[in-house]
Amino acid sequence: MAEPHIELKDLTIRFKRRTSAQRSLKKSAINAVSVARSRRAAAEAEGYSLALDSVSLEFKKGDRVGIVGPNGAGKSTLLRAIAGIYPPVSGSLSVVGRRAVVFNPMLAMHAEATGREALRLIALVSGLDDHDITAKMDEMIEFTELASVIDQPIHTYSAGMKMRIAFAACTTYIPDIIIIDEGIGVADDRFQEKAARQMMTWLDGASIVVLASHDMNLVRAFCSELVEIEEGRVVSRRPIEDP
Amino acid sequence: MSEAEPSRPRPRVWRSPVWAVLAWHEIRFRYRRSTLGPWWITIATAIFVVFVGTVYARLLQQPVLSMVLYISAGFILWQFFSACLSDASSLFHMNRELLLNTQTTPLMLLLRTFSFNLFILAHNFPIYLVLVAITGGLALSSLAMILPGLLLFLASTFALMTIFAIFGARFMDVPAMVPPVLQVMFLITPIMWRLEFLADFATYQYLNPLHHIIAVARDPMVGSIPTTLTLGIMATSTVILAWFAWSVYAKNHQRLIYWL
Repeated sequence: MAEPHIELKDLTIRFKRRTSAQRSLKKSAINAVSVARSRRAAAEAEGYSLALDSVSLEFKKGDRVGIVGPNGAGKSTLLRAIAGIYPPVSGSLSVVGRRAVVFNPMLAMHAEATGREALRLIALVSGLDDHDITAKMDEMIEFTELASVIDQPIHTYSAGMKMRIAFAACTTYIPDIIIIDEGIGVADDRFQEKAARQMMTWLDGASIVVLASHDMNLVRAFCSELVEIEEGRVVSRRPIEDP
Repeated sequence: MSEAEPSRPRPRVWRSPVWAVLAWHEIRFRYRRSTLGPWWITIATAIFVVFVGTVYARLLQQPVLSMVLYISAGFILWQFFSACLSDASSLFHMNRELLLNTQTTPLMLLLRTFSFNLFILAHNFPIYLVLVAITGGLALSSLAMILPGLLLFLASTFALMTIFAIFGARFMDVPAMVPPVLQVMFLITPIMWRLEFLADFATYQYLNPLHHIIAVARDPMVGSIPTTLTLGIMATSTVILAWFAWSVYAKNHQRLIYWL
């Protein structure tokens, strides 16, 4: 089996600045038959914002890369492109290996779900297989230390308990590639040390880690390389000297 | 376990598709704290078809049992059809965050919603079965047509659902337009009344595509055979719709994230 690998070549992502008129069926129909359509459409077509501008990067086995940059630089867009969520407008993306995508794990946490069901759903939408989740379920529950209430509905849990569920669901299974935005927190102080160990083992186990964050301490703790992005372009790529 | 251990994919045995797991959980969450759960839908549908069917039978001077059976078959199919189209038209906007932040794909969401509505349809089916038993069963010829009729109905509904979901993601008018249009179509399509009641005007109903979609599945369920015209239109339109839905999906499923 081929080694996990990510390659972006001149990858460009741009978003159209949409007005309400552009999302209207009536306006679209009128434009489609209008003589003046081409001029208007051309003018509208210029209303793009470039989120990623010809980005070329390659990540190989063993790479732990922190993506940093100011707000709106394109960090999250880059992660979503690697995750396959945003298809390239131009350029190419090649990803070999199983990806786990950890952007907002709480999203899959339905209020009516039990802790056990929330573990399954979060792991599922992060990219794991239902069969593998079943095999790892007992381990996830043990890690959360919530076995006594695991079949209670999530709406009876505290914020800290919910964060433990999300953390366990995301970090128990180790994929080839981890794509993570801003890390995963646990509110509970007592749980912090255990969570940090688990996080380190999880990230160490994966072949490639791509982490985007504003928090340089987080990036230094888990990454060995830094990719700086500004206005959708890669400004620099360098090793982190003091990990 | 207290620490994560490196894991690799297990040997391929049968694995539940993600959409099926998501659909199953959605059903469980929807009815979790209810005693009768989805059977409330069955009760509501049963009350509707029995009472409204009886009133319509009186108004239209029809035999009550056969009219109630006719309305129940048409109504449970219509409920499924209209729920699929309404849900689809706003599906991707409603699940924008999931599409943007997880590995969920548009197809998973379509299949999850279709399965959910299929589950509701299955809960309504016992009403029809009870009414068939009361009315004395169906002829063998119409029984043989039930499965092909239902398959054409389900396939065309899924194809339409895919098309509505993609157009609904692109044009915000679609989610706003679909429910009121479906309401009107419910009234002007022969679901609560029979086509024959229109007399000379019935010819115009052949131009109503929803008449054929409902009739191809409902007619065998009430002991008659769909007309050759309906079968021909449905066999052709299902293939065309499936091809169109596939084309629209293949062209747009990746870029629709940019529209949300």
